[in-house]
Amino acid sequence: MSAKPKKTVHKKKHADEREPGVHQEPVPVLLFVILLLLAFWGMMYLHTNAGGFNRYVYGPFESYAMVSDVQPGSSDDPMKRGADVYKSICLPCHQSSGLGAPGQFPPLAGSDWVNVEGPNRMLRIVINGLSGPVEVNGQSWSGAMPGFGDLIASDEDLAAVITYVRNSWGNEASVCTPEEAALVRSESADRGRPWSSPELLNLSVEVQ
Amino acid sequence: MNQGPLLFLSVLCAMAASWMGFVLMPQVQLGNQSTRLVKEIGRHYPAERGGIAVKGHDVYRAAGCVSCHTQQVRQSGFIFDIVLTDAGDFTDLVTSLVQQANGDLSDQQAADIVANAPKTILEGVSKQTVDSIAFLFKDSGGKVAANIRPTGPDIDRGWGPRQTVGLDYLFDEPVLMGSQRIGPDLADVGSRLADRNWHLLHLYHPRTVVEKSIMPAYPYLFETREIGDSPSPDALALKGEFAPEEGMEVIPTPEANALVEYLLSLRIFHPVFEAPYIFTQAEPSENIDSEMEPAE
Amino acid sequence: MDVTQSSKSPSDWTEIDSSYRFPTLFLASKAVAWLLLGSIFSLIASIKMHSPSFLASCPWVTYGVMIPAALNAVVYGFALQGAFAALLWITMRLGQVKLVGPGYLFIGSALWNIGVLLGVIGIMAGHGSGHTYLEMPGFVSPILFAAYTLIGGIALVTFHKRQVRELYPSQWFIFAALYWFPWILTAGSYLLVMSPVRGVTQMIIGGWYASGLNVIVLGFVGIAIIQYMLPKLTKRDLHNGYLSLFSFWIIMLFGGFTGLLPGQSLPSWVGSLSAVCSVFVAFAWLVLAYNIYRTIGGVSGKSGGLSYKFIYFSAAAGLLSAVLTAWASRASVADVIQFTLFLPGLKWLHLYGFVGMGLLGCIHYFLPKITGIEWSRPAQWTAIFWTYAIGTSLVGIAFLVGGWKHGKGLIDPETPFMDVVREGIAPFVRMSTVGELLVFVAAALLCWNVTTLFCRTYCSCLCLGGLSQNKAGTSSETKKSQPKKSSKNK
Repeated sequence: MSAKPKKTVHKKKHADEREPGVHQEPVPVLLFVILLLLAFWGMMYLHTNAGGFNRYVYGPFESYAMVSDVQPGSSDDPMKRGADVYKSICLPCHQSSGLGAPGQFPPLAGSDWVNVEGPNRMLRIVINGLSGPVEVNGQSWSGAMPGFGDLIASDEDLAAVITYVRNSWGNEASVCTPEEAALVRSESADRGRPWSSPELLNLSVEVQ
Repeated sequence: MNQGPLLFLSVLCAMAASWMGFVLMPQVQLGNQSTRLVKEIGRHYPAERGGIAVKGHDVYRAAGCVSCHTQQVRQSGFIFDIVLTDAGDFTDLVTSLVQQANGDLSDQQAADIVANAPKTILEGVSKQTVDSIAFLFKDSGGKVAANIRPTGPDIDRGWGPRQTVGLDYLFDEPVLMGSQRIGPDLADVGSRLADRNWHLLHLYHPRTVVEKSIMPAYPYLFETREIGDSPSPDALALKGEFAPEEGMEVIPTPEANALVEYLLSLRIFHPVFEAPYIFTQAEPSENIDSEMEPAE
Repeated sequence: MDVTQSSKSPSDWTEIDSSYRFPTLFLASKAVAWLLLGSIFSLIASIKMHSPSFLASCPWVTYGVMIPAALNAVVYGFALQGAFAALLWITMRLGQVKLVGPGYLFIGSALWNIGVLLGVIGIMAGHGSGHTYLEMPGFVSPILFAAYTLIGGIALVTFHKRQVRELYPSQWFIFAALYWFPWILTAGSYLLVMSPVRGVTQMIIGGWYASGLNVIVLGFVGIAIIQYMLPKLTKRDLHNGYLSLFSFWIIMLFGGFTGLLPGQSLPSWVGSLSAVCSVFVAFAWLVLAYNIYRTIGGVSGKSGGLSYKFIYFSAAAGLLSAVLTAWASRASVADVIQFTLFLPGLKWLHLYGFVGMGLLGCIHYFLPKITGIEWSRPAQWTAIFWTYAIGTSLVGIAFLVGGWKHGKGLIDPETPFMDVVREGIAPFVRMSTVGELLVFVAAALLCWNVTTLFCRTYCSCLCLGGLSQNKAGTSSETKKSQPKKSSKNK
C-alpha cells in the first residue's frame, strides 16, 4: 500500500494533545441588562403585533375588536347597533361573554329565556325590569334587574339589543323588529313596576 | 457545572415550554374549529372535498406540487367603500350630507346618488373616514354601509379576493400551504382558471398554453395511444410541435383528471369572520358546485 | 479560574480510540455518501429550475420530488448521521471513556441508513407526506426512532459513564440535542404523519419541528463542534464557560419557536412570537461569537491547519444564519422574503454552511486520529474545502440575493409573475446550479477520501488479525504493533 509510510500512530499524538479547558468568569452584567431590555421589547412587540393571542386575528388586523368592527354591514345593522347598546347598558352585569356572573347575574348565552320563539318576555324585562326568584336553565336565581325602558329611548335601539342578545354567543333566535318593540313598549307604558317570573311565564312568548 | 440531573431537568423544561407554545396552544385554539354557516350562500363552510378531487389532492401531494406553489393569499391592509343604502325620508338633508361626505360630487351627482340608493358615495377610504361619515349620517334617516375591501399585492394580482385563514384548510389532509412561489399561488385557482381543458393542456405541456412557463411538463399523467375506431372525445386538442404523431392521441389518465378536479375545487368565494370582504359573486359556477356540497 | 486537563495515560487513549473506530468510521462514511446523494438531487432540481424539460418524463425525479428528497437525504442522511459520529467522538474525548456497546451502535446506524434510504425512496415514489422535514412516509419514523434509540441511547450511556465528571460546555449542547431529537421526532411524526391533527395546526407543528431540528438539534451539535474544535485546534482554553451557559439557556428556551415567519395564513401571534424568539436566538449567537472571538483572538489561521478553516467557516455561517433569520422575521422584511428563494437560502446556509462545514472539519480532523492512518492525499482535502466553501457560498448568495429580488418582484403587482420567476431570478438560479455543482464535486471527492480511509483501516486491521476484536475493542497485538511502525516512520 502506497499510503503505508504516511501512517502515524495516535499514541504519540494523544500524549501531546490536550483537551481544551474552560475559564470561568461571571457573565458581564451588561448582558443581563441587554437580555432584560430584549425581554421588555419582546413584550411590547407581542402587545402590538400578536393580536391578543386571539385565534381570529390574522394579517392586517390588530385585535379581535378591530376584526369585529370592520365586518361588512350597514350602519343600521341591528347586530352592530345592538352590540353598542349592549356594551353601554347590559355588559356590566351580563358580561361581554353573555355568561353573567355566577350567583349574581344569570347568563344570556344559551339561556332558555332567550332562545324562545318570540321576544315578548325579553322586551318586557328590559323595559320594566324583573324582580323575585327566577329559574334559568334549571338553576334558580334571586336578585333584581331594573327596567331600562327610559334609558333605551329609541325603539330601534331596543329592538337591536334584543336581536343582538338573541343572536350572539351561540344563541339562535328570531330577530326583534322595531315595530314589536314599539308595541310592547306601548302595552307596558303604565305598568311602572318590575315583572315577576310567574307573571311573565303566563304571557305568551311571542308579541301579539 | 457537572450536575447531569440538573441539565436533564432544564432540557426537559425548555422542551415542555416549546411544546406547549407551538403544539398544545395551537391545538387548543385551532384544533376544534368546525364548519360555519355562511349566511350569504346559506351553507356551511368549508365543505369537505368530494368525488375524485380527494384523489387529486393525493396526486398533488405525491408529485410535490407544494415545492413550487403556495396556497395562501396574503393581505397587507383593507380599505372601505361607503355606500348609501337607504336615503330615508329627508332627501334634501341626506343630499347635503352626501356632498359633505364626498366634496367632489356636484349637486346633480349627489342628487342622483340619493335618488338611486343604494349607491356608492366614496371609494377606498380608511376606517377613520368611515367612522366620521357614519357619525354624519346618524339620525338623518339616511343609512350608510361601509364595505370592506382587502388590499395587498397578492389580491391585486388576482390570486384571491381576501387573505386565507386557518378555517380554509379545515378539511385538507395533509395541509399543503406551501412556502415557495416558483409558480403562482393556487388558493383560488379554481375561480381564476375554471377551464378543465386548459388545466389538462397545461399539465401535459405547460408551454402549450403559457408560452414563458417554467413549470415542468407532466407527460406521465397522460397516455399516448393509437387512435382506435374513432378519436376519443377525451383526447387533448394539441397543435403544432406539441401534437402527437399521426394516428396517435393523448388521453389524460384518471390521475390527471383527479388533479384537475382538485385544482378546480381550490376556490375562495366568500368571506369569513377573520377575513371579511364584500361578497359579490352570486353563486359559484355550476360544475364545481356539485363537488362542494355542504357537509351537514 | 478553573482549567480541566486530561490525565489519561497514552495506552488508555489507544483503547478508547479503538473502541469507537469502526462505528464512527461507518457513520462518517455513510454520512458523506448521503451528502453526495443529496447534492446530486439538489443539482437535478437546480437544473430543472432553468431547463424545465430536463428529465421531465420520469415521475421519480420531478422538481417537486427532488427538493424534498435532497433535503431529507442531507438532513437525515448527512447532517444527523454526521452529527452522531461527531458527538460520539466529542463525548468520548471529553469524558475519556470507552464506547459502550459498539455492536448495538452498528445495528443502530445500519437501521438508521435503512430508514433514511426507505424514506428517500418513498418520497421519490410519491409517498412523501408533504410536510417539510417530515416528508418521509409514515412507516419510516418508527425505524428511525428505533435506530435512534440505539444510537442516542449508547451516546447517553457513554456520556453517563464518563471518567472526567467535569462537563465541558460542548457536552451540555450535545446532551440537550440528544434528548431533544427523540421528543420532536415522535411528536412531529405522530401528530403530522401517523395520526394527523386537523387543519392549519399541522402547519404550526411543522414549523415547531423544523425549528427544533435545525436550531436545537443540529444547531447544538454544530455549536458543540465549534466550541470544542476551535479551542482545541488553537491550543487555548475557552474564554468563559458561563457565557456559553448563558447562550445555551437562551437558545434552548427560545430556539424551538423560531420556525414560522410572519405573513403566513396563521393567526398573527404565531408569526410575532416566532419573530421575537428569533431575535433572542440571534442575541445568544452574538454572545457565543464573542466568546469564541475572545478564545481564539490573535491566532493566525495557519496554525490550526485545514480543520481550523472548516470550523471557522462553520462558525461564521452559523452566526450569519442566526442573524439573517432574526432580520428576516421583521414584519417589513418578512413581507418581501416570504414565499421566495430567500428561505431555501437560509436553509442551505444553515445546513451546508454551518452544520455541514462543522461536520466536515470534524471528520477531517478526527478520522486520521482514531484510525491512525493519515489522509493519503491532503491536497484533495484542500480542494474539498475550497470547492465546498465556494459552492456553499454561491448557493447561499444566489438564493439570498435572488430571493430578495424574487420577493421584491412578488410584492409589486405591476410586474407580471412570469417576469418575476423567469428574467428576475434566472441569473441567480444559474448561479446556484454552479454552486450545487461545486458542492457535488466536493462531496464526490470527500466520499472517495473517506471510503478509501475506511477500506485502508479495515485492511490494516485484517492484516494485523484484529478483525475479530476490532468491533468491541482492539487486541493487544494491534496496540503493540503500532509503535513499531511509528519508529519505522522516523
